[in-house]
Amino acid sequence: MAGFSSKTSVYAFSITLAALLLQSFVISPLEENFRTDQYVSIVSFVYISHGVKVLLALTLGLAAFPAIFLAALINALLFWGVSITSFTGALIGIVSLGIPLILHNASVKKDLWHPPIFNNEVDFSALWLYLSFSLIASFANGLLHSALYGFHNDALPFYFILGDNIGALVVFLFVMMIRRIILLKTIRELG
Amino acid sequence: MTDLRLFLGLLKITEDAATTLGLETLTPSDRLILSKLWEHFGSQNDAFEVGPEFLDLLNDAHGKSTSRAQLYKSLRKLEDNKIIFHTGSPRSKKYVFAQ
Repeated sequence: MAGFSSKTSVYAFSITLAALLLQSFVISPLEENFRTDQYVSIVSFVYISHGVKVLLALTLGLAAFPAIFLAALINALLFWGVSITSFTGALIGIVSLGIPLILHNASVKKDLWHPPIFNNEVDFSALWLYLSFSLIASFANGLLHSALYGFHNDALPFYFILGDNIGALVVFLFVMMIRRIILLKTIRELG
Repeated sequence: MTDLRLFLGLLKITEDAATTLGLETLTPSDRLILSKLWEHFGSQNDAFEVGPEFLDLLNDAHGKSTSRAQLYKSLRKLEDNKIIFHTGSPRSKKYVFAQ
């Protein structure tokens, strides 16, 4: 597997955990004030962590998965307590993200752990790649979570797909807004 | 190099998306000038002067000619993007980096 420094691991872990904590302790409680549907405690309509995870998968590839899993597990333990649902939920998060990553890398004949954004051999649009990853991962996430909750809730996968992709769009807009900071930070790191 | 993957990846995504969405602001020349400015003045907190010496330095380093017009056009664009700020009198050549 490609080299992965501890500094990058810490960045990936911190960003994911921050997004998950923001989700669990700020966005989801806020949503509970506005939503009346039965899934409000299970699924968010603005799941920003999904967008963060897609960004990390695109930039770091499979090497980001341990940090994402650990952050998701810690958040789940804090939010749901010690349970099989916590562990399985965190696992579903990375399995659903791994599906578009593996499919993409296999289709462009790269190593399966390769970060898709670094591919000079194929001309592609980063924006559409991000949206494609987000959509495919959200489909997998919705179906796997539906299985986790015993297939009792027919509409649940649609809630997951909607929430994941709205969250991904919000994250993308945020990243675009701070792209000047990203540019400066990159130049500073290069220096 | 490994540590930069995350930043370079995010930069690639945002720059590429900006191009796709028609929001591109910095040309390759702008980015080259910005990186040289940072290389030479990034460590100082106070104002730095961008004069003929910097232009010579820029051309020496890259072996190609960057015109005065291109330099000042790029500086204006970096100002518009709030990456650097002009200081002193309107005719001064002093700038500071955004904090």
